[in-house]
Amino acid sequence: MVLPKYEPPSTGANSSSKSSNGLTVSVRPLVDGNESRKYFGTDLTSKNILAIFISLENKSNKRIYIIPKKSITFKYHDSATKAKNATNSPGDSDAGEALATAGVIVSPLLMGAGLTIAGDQTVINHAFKSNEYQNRTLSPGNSAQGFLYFKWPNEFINHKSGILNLTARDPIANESIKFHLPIQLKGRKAP
Amino acid sequence: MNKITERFNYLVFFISIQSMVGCTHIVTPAKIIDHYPQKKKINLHVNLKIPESLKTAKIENNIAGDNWIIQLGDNLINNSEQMAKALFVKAGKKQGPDIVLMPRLASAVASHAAWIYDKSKVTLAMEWTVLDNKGATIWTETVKGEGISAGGSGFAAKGNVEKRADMAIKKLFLNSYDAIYNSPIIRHWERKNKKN
Repeated sequence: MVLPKYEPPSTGANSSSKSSNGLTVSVRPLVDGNESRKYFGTDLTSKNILAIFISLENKSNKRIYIIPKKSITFKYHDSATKAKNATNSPGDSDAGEALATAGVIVSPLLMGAGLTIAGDQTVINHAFKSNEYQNRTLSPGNSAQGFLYFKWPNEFINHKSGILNLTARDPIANESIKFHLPIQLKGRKAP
Repeated sequence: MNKITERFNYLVFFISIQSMVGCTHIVTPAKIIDHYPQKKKINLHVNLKIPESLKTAKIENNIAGDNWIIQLGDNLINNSEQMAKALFVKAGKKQGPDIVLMPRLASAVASHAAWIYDKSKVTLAMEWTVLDNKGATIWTETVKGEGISAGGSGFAAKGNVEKRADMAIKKLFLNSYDAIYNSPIIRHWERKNKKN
């Protein structure tokens, strides 16, 4: 099995984008089973994993932004758009609101996914880990991208939207910017 | 039962156990990068803080009953030390450094393609964090290095894994050198330190 590199559609459904102080954050959830199989070799949603592709671009002239993974959280909304909490992240200042922090899901969840060829397991595992967003500092003109993985329990199957929260810090100006990006989760099939 | 039959049964039993247990293949990458660009070093005294997790870093995969282990710890530590010396005017473990450089293996993963002509990969992602002399994070960056080649036949498999690991390590540290050397924040800190 050979898995292609993920390329987000330029005008993707469910995608969302916001800019502030020269920093642009774009996100797109991977909820379609076929698309997930194409890039990860398995349907991640059937493993209760929500993969969100995040793209960051620093278009400012002089600002520098540190965007650590631990500053990113995702909050599901139910049909009444009331936020519900699932797992809190220990030590997170927003633990009361956070559903899960990036990196909570680990690759062993994918093991034993009904694969027929032993080697494929390592290919899937490789795609999962090597595509993950990692902590970055963005200098002017720099960009970063990768997947964030969150738990998506079956009890939240009817939650068709959520909000991704992110904090970027400029260590020289000692300022922080908070982003709140709404995300549509339509497309996941019932387990 | 004569002795020949008895020995044959022992042999069959031994082979059966071997095939059930599988083999362990240990790969220890030897690549040490010693040819960093000959550029003017960053005028800062850096302490390299190696976390315990790096010392035991490895990639472990079980492929069809065989256990494949790529031992990374010693190599990553040696290369981190070499790179710090190539980057900074002073690199060591002395008291009162200007900054602290901390490596953390964010991700280490290897794929083994099912077919010998398909590409297999070793991908390493190292997170570098720079702390000021008060312990505050002033910069963090994750740098990747990837080694790709055909999986190869059974006889060549171990050597190919080693080549991929060496390739990934080489790219990881050359990319890390570039990222740290060209970091505006570290340069900002260098200028700030010079004024003081």
